[in-house]
Amino acid sequence: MEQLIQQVGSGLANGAIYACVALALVMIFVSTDHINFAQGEMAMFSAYLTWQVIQWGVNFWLALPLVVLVSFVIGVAVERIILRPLHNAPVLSIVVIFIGLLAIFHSLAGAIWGHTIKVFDSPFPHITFAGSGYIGPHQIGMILVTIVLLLLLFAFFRLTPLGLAMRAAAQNPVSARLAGVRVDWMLALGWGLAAAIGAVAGSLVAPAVYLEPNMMASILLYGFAGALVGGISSPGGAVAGGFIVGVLENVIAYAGNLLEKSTGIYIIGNGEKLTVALIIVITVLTLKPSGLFGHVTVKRV
Amino acid sequence: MAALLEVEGLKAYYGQTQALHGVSFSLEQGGITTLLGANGAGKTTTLRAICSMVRTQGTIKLDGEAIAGVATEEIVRRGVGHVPEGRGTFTNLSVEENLRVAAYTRSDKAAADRDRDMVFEYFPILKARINQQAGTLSGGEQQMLAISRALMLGPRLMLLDEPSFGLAPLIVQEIFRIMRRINAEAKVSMLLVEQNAALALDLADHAYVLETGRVVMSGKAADVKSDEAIRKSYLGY
Repeated sequence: MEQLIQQVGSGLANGAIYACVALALVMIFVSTDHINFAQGEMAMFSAYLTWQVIQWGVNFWLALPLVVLVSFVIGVAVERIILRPLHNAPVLSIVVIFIGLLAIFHSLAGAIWGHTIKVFDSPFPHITFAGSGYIGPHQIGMILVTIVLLLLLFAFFRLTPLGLAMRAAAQNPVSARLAGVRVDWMLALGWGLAAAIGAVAGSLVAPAVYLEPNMMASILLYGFAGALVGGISSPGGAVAGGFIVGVLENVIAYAGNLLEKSTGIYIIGNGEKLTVALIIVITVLTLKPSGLFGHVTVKRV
Repeated sequence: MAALLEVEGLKAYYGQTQALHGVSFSLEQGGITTLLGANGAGKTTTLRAICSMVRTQGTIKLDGEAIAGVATEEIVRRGVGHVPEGRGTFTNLSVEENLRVAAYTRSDKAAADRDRDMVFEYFPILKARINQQAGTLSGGEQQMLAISRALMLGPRLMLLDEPSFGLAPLIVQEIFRIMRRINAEAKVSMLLVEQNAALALDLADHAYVLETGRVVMSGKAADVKSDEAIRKSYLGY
């Protein structure tokens, strides 16, 4: 039982990161209908930036907002400079661009900071508290920071005129233009926000997985699974989906271990966590393509 | 009176297909002008061309200022409220949010609040539905919302694309009555595209008849209405 609680706890912590990545994916998907395959690498690049700023002697909590801001600008720049000229291009061209971006950010990080693993200290204090046997301080920190981030985003989209304009632009670009909304800039802003969310996710997960250019590869997959579970068109669903995937991967592996212990049959274990994510992706796409919280969109053709 | 909108030799294209072949007309300040014609005559295209929603050639002047080729959202910000074909509702947003999006660009928030009150006076049903998801409104209510969204821009000119489309006659009458009030009270000039020629000619003071992307005749609405030859050959009633 104790182990199960532990597994759920660390599942929630991982889920927080998947939720951020899923949200970043959805942010771009709802306004452009594209999945940004480079989202993970952009987050990894941001994590390196945070590490670099910390190496210069800056406190993590000062470095993070700075890097979030820089990542936002990078996101906006990528949209304006690279994707804007291609806004009428067929979807395959866009996919190639995304893969190109992935390679660029990956190689750039490797070229600047090297491919060896770097230690990224947790910004959260190493304290013991009631229940700290179940969940570590860094894991609790990840969950808390994610929740604050999500609340801020929610407030931004619900309560500010700019957030409303972004929602309008994502939902009906033609009508949004007719309401005077500069839709092109809203797309760029969406990219900026996605990059900023990724920066938080990358910088928070780096202490848990160690910093290296491949660190986000599997996390992007989990994030994608989370977005699909929740419904790729629903930001709230993506967040819920991220947490669900985080908990599921741990609990299923845990159940697999139990099964092996009691019967000696090995079906699934810690080594197959990524497989769980892929099974989730395939199951959702087959049985309920719109996800748990997404809505079916009917398009006139 | 000075012309608010002057269109000269307007051509418009969808890809390689030319939809307008040199349309010219003007709209007086404070007036209501209607564009009539059969399906495919280029009425909707003309409205879209004014808002840069299609590729165009020719000159379009709003209050003497050339606006051809300016981005749609910038034209809208200069006071052109386009009520599009199909109403363009933000279906997932509430009625209130639909109106707020339209007021988003305005710097004068007090004026926007006044316009909001005015909108609710014209269409009290929208006030009753204020928190409802706009996609759940009836067709007539969505048309009212579309007109209200355009009004929330504080426009000088409204472009109305078939406001009667798909609505019951009683609702159409009510909407046209309010359009007349908006024109008179809020001093908004209107360019109206309609299939229902009789209805449009009642409201408008000037009329242009389009056929396959060209203006084939124009005149005072009353004259067009009383000319039986025009009615029979172009308007089909």
